[in-house]
Amino acid sequence: MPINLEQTGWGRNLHFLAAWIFVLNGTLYLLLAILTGRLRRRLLPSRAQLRPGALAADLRAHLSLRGRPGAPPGRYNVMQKGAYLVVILGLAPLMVLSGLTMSPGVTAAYPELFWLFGGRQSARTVHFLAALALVAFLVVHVWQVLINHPARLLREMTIGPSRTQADPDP
Amino acid sequence: MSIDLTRRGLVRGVAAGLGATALSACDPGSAAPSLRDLYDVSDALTFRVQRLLLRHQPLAREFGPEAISTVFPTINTTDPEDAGYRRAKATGFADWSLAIGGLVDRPTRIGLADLRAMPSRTQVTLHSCEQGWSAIAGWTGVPLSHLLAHVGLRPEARYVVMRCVDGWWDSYDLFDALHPQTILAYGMNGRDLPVAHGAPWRLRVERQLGYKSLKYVTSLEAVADVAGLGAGRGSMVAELGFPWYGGI
Repeated sequence: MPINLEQTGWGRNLHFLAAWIFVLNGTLYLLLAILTGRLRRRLLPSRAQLRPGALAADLRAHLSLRGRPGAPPGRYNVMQKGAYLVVILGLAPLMVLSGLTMSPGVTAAYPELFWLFGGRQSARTVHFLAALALVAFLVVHVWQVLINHPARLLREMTIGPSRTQADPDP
Repeated sequence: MSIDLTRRGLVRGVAAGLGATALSACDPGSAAPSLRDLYDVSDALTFRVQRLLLRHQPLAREFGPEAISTVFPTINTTDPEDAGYRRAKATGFADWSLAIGGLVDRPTRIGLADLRAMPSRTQVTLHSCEQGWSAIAGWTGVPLSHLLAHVGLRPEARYVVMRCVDGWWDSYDLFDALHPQTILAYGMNGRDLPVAHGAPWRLRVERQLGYKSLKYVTSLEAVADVAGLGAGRGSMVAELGFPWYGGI
């Protein structure tokens, strides 16, 4: 037999299905976040948060590895905002672009991608490192949820904060 | 402008949307969608989007000879066991031929000498393998568009089916079959095509993954439709679970 029957391609098929969901969902999210001003209101650090003293206090609070450092309920602390911005504006676009650089079809249309990453194999390395960084983000993020009243956070993430709770961000 | 999306509103909207989708997919008699069907959706999306991106038929990037890789991996069949192939290999493929038929005006068989006498194209390109590696080589061969014109491709033909001595087969629509870089290559890096790379000739389809560039091609058939071939997925690898369109 010239073929390996164990190579059924399921991993790559799942990868490209997930990639399309990632791209469509991510594009919609990014557009809405920018157009509704949410990116600016919720994710850009405030001037107060960026003061060296505040930054140091937030860093210390994180390093102590105890729950909910820094920010009042309903607001993101500055390191949290930084992590989200790196993922949304840095790692996610990097994943998509380095992935497209491995595509012989897309690079025929946009050979500039090779220039951007220095070739297909460099893009492959960048893609892998960015994926590792995203997994690291996921692990830390889930861990932060688990140590910060997970039940309340899950409710806030899905059906929203309870109405009796003062809305800190109208 | 400031639209405030509430999570509650979003959850309601998404739930309503999913419900509507589920209902519309619920006509009696249709099988429940499987994961395989979902992969078909993402593969079809990739195919459509890439056809849009490639609508002006750009060439894949070509390099100078200095870029040629010192090592070009060989995988899958590297020395066919077919008895006829072995005999042909021993005599330098002098009697080996490619059968061209199907929806063409002048079905024919052509040999290595015929191919060498035809107009040729040499291209130094990047081979992108599904497995992840890539390598650069120079390929010399006859554009498939010339071969198809030579035998008189009929207007009703939509696909070209290739079959190989090792049992591999694949098909290409005319968008890729007639692309100037789609060639039947008999030379690699200025020499005869080595056996491990598909001697005496192989296909090069530069804007798709390496698995579309078949080695050891023995026949070429022009057809109107590929639905009746094999399991109807258009290629051997598609029956194993890999997409028919390899542009990724």
